[in-house]
Amino acid sequence: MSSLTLAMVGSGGTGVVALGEMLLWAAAKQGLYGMLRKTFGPQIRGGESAAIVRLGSEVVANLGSDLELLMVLDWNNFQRFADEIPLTENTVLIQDLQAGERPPNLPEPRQTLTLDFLGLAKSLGSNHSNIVLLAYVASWLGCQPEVIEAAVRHRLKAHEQATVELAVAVASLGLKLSHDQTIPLQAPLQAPLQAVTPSSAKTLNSEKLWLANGNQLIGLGALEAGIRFVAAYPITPASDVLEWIAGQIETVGGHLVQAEDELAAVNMAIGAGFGGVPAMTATSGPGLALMTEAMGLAVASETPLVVVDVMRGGPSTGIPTKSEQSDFNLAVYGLHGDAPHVVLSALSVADCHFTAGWATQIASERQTLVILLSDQFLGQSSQIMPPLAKTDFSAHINEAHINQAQMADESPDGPQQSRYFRYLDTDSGISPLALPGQPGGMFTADGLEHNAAAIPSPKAGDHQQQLAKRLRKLDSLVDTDHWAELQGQGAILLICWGSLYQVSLEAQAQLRKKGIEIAVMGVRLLSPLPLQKIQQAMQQAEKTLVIEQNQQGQFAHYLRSFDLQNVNAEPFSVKHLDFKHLDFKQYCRSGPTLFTPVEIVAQVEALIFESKNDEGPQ
Amino acid sequence: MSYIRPSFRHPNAEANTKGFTRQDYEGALSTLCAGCGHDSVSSAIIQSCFELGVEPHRVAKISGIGCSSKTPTYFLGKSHGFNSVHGRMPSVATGASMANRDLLYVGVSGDGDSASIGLGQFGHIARRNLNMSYIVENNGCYGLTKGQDSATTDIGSKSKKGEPNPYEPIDLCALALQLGATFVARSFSGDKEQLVPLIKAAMSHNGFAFIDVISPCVTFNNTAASSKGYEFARDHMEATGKIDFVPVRSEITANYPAGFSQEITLHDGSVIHLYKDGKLDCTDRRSALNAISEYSEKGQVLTGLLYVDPDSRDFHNIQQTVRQPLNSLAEIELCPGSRALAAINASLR
Repeated sequence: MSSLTLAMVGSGGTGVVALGEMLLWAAAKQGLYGMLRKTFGPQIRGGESAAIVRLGSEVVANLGSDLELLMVLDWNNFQRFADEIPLTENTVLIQDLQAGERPPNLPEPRQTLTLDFLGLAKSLGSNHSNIVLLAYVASWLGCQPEVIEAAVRHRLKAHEQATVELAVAVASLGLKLSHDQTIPLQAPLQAPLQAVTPSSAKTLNSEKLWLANGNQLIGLGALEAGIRFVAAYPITPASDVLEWIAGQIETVGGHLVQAEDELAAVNMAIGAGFGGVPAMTATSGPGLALMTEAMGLAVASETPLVVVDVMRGGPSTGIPTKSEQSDFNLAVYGLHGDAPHVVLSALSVADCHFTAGWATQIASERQTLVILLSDQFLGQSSQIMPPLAKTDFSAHINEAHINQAQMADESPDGPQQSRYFRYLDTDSGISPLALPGQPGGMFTADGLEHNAAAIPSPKAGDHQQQLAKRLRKLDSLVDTDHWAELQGQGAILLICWGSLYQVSLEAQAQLRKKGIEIAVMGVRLLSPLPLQKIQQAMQQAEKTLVIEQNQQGQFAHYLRSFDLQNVNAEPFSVKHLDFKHLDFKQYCRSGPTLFTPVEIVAQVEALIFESKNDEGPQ
Repeated sequence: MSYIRPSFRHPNAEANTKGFTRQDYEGALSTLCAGCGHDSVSSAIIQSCFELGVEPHRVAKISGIGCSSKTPTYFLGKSHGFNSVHGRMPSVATGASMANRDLLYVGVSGDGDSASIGLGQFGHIARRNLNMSYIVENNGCYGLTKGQDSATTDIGSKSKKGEPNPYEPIDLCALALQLGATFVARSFSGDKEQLVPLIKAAMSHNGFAFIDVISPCVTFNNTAASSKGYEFARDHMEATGKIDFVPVRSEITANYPAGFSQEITLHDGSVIHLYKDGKLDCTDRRSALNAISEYSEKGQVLTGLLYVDPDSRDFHNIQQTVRQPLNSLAEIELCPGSRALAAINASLR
């Protein structure tokens, strides 16, 4: 795939994020694929901001490794982003005449273009140098003038007519500038540019493309699958899951309530689940920590509940505006007591849609807690993609269970016992669920340990029976095909989860160009973990590398804890296992800098080199 | 009230308008201490539901954690329930009500559950005016964990072991009034004549109906000095007025003395009568707040109906939810659903 990565930097208020959004929107209309990552300082408003846009001829699902073009409206605070903007000597720089002094210690750009964007905007009485720059760059990328104008109008649609017309006039100055000041294309830019310059055929397809971020797609997937109640408490970067749903849920007949805190939000969702309405809440690390007590209640009372965690840098307030995969331990181990539950990870922006639907279905059919892990990168990066088909997932708390409840009610156990067994010990572990208001289905949902008839009981036998039942009802989940995405085959197996999957696929493609084939596994079902399937994949490779974006190697630690050599390996029996294949190397580092394909390629190559050395001079 | 309850009942036991006998509203045997005020409250709830002719399967009892929150096991054994976590009963009730607005929600909580760990949730459910009856069984201590001071413990009062409590107590009625609750009452577990009509009125109210019931803890906080003890309560209670409650569709057969001071008609047509000796205009929030502090300064506890807004708009009115319970809406009623989803998809283009 040919691609082009552009970064836009300015201090808060210069509108670089809006610039990125308009550029992506225009690109989408021209039939290009692309992705936008917004990055802010932790103060969120009034601080420094940056946007990175990667455009490509095919679907772009990660930001790649290199930066071809850097646009700077203001050098102030650039250093705060220096780590996240991979400036190299191959990068072309476009800066505003009044951007200030370029900080020392930066690599010398391949080419520097200094233009008076702000001056042009001011000539019309505007401060919108970002719009001049947008029109300049978009035009240079081959976007048609009417598409650029439409992008400006779309972005400002909530503004007054005069503001919009002024912005359009400002944009026309940028267009004119692009004709007067063509960027002389340097060698490294030429190839990707020609590939991404839109052809007319692509333009025709553009009406069918979607522009969405992971947070929106979690909302869409959840609503499609039947979530009809959402309780919300704002937290970055999960707020826009809730904001987006707030605008949509009533159109499908549901409700959203803004709660007073995360404790209330999760308990409201539990209350709605108890009442028979598929319910969800979304939060980020500190909010997930607050919700853990109630999540134990959902497990014990077997109430369907979906909790979305859009992970950010932690602990505590950490880096709320940037991405990390460091809530794995909290999601998997954070609950008190023996509390079996499901943890899923979304493997791409688009996969947020699929996985949210799956989470909704699992929660309702297995009457349990499902935690869905996304992260700031997936959640807040906008991506141009082909339309996503509605998933087949659906939450069905209602009728089927009521029928089962009625059957249970008829059990001939004498007058005192002819009651509804809410927590009946069934083969599947799933008990008949009646809803409040249903005659004959009366029971008290309880966080207290209880017996099959939902009567509180501290008896050892009841505790053991109910614990075993709650564990057993998740067993068959590991048989599903959705547990992971597995691509390719090779001597090396690369295991990752969450947002690292897409960047790993690009690393796989780059390695293929070098003649190295690897298998890439993106694990969607983190708990319960399908150990036999992982074991099988590891057996087929010589070496396994686990990568993740947290310092402690939380997933790697978890995987190691299972003692894979002794997992019951049907259909492979233990004696045929080659134990050396069941060990793995790990490459784990913290955020917020994103993993790049080049970084992963280097790790895989190091592993291959190491293997060759291990073999020695035989 | 650990007594042995005979399972045999008179075959011709009185039945209410819906054909249920008192037994249909009873629960399991109480495991609370003998003499606990909470058992009297359970009994008052049973009597209220029996007299109102509530259908047991139309009730959901929601509670948190504590001695008070254990009590739903001891009443309405044929109803639905959710025994949730400490302090979050209001949130679970909110979610359940959003799922099914048609049930009668009875929340039972305590001073630890509502005035300490769940104060945030308590405040916001009052503010949202969720349609439910919310009964706090207020004994001024943590009974289940053996008598620690709570947020409603009297200042200066001394628990069995330990130092006098240095903090002012929280008055949940005053708080509920300030936060916008639309039905606020206080009663005493030992005064069934007052408590039963209050619970019936609360269950008929359209919105958040709060009753703070002084309910003595015989084991840890029943000293002569405790304002939550039997002795103090009997000596220092001053009622806002004798109350009677006439449910909707009931014929008024009693002969009320001429000139009773206030008659309040609730949204469903049921009527609260406040008798002549009533000293308070129960539809004025400010005078209710003033009266609470006035009596408190005199060392007395004002009981009875303190405030009611007969035109209350509950949470569902405010949220403009559809009339039909959300959990009963099938795919077909959500028909605009698939069309709306298509529109949502279009918006992502």
